[in-house]
Amino acid sequence: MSKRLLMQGNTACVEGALRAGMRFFAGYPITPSTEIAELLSIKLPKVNGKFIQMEDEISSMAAIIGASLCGLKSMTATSGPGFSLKQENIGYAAMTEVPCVIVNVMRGGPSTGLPTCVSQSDVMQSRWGTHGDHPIIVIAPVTVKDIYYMTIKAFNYAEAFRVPVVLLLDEVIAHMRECVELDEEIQIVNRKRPATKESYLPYRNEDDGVPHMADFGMGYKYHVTGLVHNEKGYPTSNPDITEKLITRLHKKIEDKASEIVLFDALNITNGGDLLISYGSSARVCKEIIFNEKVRGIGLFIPYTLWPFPEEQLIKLIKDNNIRRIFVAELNTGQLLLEIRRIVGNTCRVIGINKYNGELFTPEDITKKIEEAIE
Amino acid sequence: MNREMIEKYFRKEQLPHIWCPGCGNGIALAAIVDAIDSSDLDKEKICIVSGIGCSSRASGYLNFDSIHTTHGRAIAFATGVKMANPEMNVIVITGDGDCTAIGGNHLIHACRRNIDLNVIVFNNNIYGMTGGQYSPTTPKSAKTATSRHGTVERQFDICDLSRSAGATYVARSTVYHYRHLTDMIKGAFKNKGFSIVEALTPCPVQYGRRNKLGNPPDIMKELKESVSLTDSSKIKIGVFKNESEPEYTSEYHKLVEAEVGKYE
Amino acid sequence: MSKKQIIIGGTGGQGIILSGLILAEAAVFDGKYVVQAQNYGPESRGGASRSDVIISDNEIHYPKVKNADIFLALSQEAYNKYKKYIKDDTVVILDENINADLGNYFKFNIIEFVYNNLKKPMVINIFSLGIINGLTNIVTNDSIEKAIEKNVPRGTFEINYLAYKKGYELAKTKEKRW
Repeated sequence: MSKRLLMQGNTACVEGALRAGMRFFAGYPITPSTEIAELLSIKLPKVNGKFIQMEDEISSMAAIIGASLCGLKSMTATSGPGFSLKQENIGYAAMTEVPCVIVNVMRGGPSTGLPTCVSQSDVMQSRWGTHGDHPIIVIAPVTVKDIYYMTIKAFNYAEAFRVPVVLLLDEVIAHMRECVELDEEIQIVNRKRPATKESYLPYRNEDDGVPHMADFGMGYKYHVTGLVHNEKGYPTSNPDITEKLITRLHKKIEDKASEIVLFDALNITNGGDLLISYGSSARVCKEIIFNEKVRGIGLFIPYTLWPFPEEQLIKLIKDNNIRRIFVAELNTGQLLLEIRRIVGNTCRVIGINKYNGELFTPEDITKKIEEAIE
Repeated sequence: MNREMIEKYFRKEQLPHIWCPGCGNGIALAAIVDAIDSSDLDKEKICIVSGIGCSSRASGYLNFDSIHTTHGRAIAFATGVKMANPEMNVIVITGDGDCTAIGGNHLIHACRRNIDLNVIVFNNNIYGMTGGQYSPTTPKSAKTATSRHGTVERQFDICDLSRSAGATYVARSTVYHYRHLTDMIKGAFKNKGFSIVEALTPCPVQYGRRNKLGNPPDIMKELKESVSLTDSSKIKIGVFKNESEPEYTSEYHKLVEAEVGKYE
Repeated sequence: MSKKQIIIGGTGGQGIILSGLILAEAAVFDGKYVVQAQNYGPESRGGASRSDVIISDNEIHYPKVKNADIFLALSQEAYNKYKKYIKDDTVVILDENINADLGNYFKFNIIEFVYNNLKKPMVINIFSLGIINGLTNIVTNDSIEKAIEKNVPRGTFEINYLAYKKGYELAKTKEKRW
């Protein structure tokens, strides 16, 4: 499919998910993610998939976990208020290691906030929204083309690492249409299934820390619980087993972080300043560095917000003698905290923030940069 | 329960169960196992889904595919399982608080869809695991950990609620009436649609003690006498609804059959 | 043409988003880079809504219109709300009933013409596209025909394409300014 197409962000998400092999979707109507549910209600039956509109966001999240346990790649899509409701069972998916993808199209908050307006204020929630120490992968695309390929990536990561993956879109990139050419080769990853029923342990620590996953209904007859569990899947409160489990859940992602992280570094100049931005805000930053030719400023776009391309950023700062960083985001400063943690005292880190429901204009950002330079 | 059933269907290493002496949950679970054994369900394709609470620990004891989910959400997880693989025989084991308080919304909507789930509610009128707080089925005036002077709330009738919401098989029994309870559950398995069986079961430790109901045999006797198949002055047991109506996953399958292959 | 920015503004329910979509798709058929974005409120009907289209020979990053090269408004509310995007050389196209307080503009009896001559108020958006393209030729007629066919409801292509042509012809009666 190398034809040039005009495609909406939400549509790209749907097409990417279907290409990745997603065959079960449960959701609940909410602006600005609803197009995803509407399109999938039409498209899933055509590929022998299943769509269900559940009674709320909580049950949507529960249903995709149930379906994933039966072997179907599963997804739900929502926005802020619904994302809050899903947190309970996102934690369950993290604990029980059930692959699934959660799309959150960010809109203005808190609470009902600004339903039709853009925001990037769910960044911290996407990492820490559910209770307890837990692993999660969060991906934030910038273009409509990104959305297509990164939705596929999201499923690949969910399957490879048995972890919930949050695809963090925002109102601007979800609703905008853009010409795309979908001509890149893609790779589809499927969960590792056990080779034999003999001595199957559903939560055994394999070499890569990711247990093999049997489909329900195939005679494996295993137990899944959100309680701390042993290799057989049965509840336990043994401190050693508890610690091993929580450690493994984190290490299976941390150990592979260098393979998971996705980022771009554009126009980096030695001794220059660095802009860091993601999602729709990164588009505005690209406009600045490519079209407005603001001198001496480069752009770092993290596509995986978690795990964050931490080592890569540190190296880039060191190699290029970066002393000043601007973090542009549509919130009061969320990723900013993470960047400050990562760079410590090596750089001055300045937040450029907007939270009035509108996207940055290039001037919003250039003005802040100029102010700081003066 | 006879040893043969335990060998056949239980995860023996998970026993003994966590339930208190005098609790009726073990009897209710035994009735489920008897009903499974005497049914023609494909034993390789049974999935037990439970929520959180005393009753919901049952999923860990039975040797089938099983999910011990989050509080109140068992029916929602079960909906995903049944839709993803309609060949699965899905049995939801839940309690009164799990099913009708935090999970009440999922219950009524699963009833409305008439999705082929078999929900067995162990109704002991109390939150046992958390220490005896009142639930939506606690009788008015009963003393609990959160209603020391007697609850002022009115109670749900789980069967009325489910029937009104669209369940196609609705029945009630008690753990005293073991044979009858087993038959009620068998009836649920036979219905292609949403089935719910309310199993009344005593909680001597958290409910009986606070309401001075005596020792477990006294409570069991009281349970026996409080219900009747015919006497309308008592709590009725039996089948209240058993009707055939279009089932959700079958209806959805028709849509898929008509559409499949038309993807552009 | 290196980069052209178009704002189409109107009332929710007038098909503003769809007209932006069709214009954008036509530009894709012409081989351009295109971004189409929208601003809308909670109303499904009523309220000011706007569709932004950016057409360029190069990749587009900032997805919103900064300064309009073409500005069309079908309602007073949309005009008032979005007129800040009008600059000196913007081609401004307004419905006859709009009170404009800024410089040069083209006024057409858009709504009345559609009601009287086409008898189908639903084609106001496509008629407006005809006017835009008649004045500016921002996309080729072949591409816009294809884009209309692809995006309007089945069975309504004829009336929509007729509306497009009528709008295009009406525009040609005015001075060309592109």
